[in-house]
Amino acid sequence: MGKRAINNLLKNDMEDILQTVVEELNVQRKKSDVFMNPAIEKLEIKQFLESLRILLEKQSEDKINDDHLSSLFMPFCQKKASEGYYLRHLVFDTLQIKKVIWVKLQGEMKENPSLLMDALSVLSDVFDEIIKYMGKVFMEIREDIIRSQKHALRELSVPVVPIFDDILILPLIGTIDTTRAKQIMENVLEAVLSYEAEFVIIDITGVPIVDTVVAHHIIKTVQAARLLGTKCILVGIRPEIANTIVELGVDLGDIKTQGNLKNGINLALSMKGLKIIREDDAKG
Amino acid sequence: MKIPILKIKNCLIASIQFEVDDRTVMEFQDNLLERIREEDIRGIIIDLTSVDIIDSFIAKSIADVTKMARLLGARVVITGMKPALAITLVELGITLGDIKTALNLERGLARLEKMIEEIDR
Repeated sequence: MGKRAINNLLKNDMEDILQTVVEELNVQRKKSDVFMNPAIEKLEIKQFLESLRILLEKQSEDKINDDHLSSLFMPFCQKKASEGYYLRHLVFDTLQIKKVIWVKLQGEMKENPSLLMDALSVLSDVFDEIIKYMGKVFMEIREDIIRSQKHALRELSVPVVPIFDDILILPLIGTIDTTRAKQIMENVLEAVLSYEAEFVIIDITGVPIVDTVVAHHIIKTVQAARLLGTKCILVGIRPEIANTIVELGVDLGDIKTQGNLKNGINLALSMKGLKIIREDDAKG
Repeated sequence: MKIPILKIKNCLIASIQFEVDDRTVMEFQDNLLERIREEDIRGIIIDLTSVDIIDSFIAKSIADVTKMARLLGARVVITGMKPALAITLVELGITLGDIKTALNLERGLARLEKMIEEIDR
């Protein structure tokens, strides 16, 4: 009964409700920093009301079907999330719509308190479900975005570049923490295996701070690479980093080091018994 | 189950194909040393390509067998270690000191040949 009453109200007074909601929201918008294109917003609210009407129509007995909810409101939520809309604004707007319908119902059914009670409880339930659903979908969409960004960041953070047969370069840039160090180790070892590398040149020019933790991680990577059968050369140690390493008493063991990348490449080549020479000299 | 040990020229190749327990590895140690002495072996390759995990005792036994082989005049190269295994070992603090390693069997043989040449010099 209450359901049918809301449905009739939505059918007959659609334009009226729409207008009231838009006006109410406009008042609120002026107070806040949210800007929306009024024409688009009106269209969206209209779609929302239409979806609400269909949801009530399809609803059998007292239970709200999750499939109906998702088929009706999923595209709306996705659109809002991709536009960078905040969940709190969305919930606020939805509650605003509920309030308008609530007031309308009260006005329509002054003479029939029992029907009014029923209608209001149906309205309440339906909006509860919608908001619960919105929260769920919004969080899922946001988490997806965060996950893909994290993935992209991770890919960027450990580039392994093959420069010659058997020689890989690992240019490290930025701060190294434990998570990243683990990632670096795994990526390097996988790359060593897939390129069958004999040498890995680790360039730490872009690492701002080398403390005991970072040094420890680098040493571990070198040791693991050695177990696989690969030699590592550490290059790009800046003077101040050499200073900290010595002052902290970090023992780099027998890890081969070179001042810059160029010398590192030369060392790797000479250890392989190769040398870069000018073409003329080779002929002459 | 015994770890198979194959002979090529003056080298032995032992490929560990299954999860080994303490007894198997001790047996393997004895077998290997026995064969080095009997067959005048100069080089040994221990291949770990199909090994996913080893514990510290097995790792230590392998490290020991290299040292023992060296006393008998043979050189050992460990080949085919997987990244996951290497990471586990390093995390456990087992760096296998001065044991020689190679990416795969082919590289291992090349490395072993060089090492044998060096002793003969």
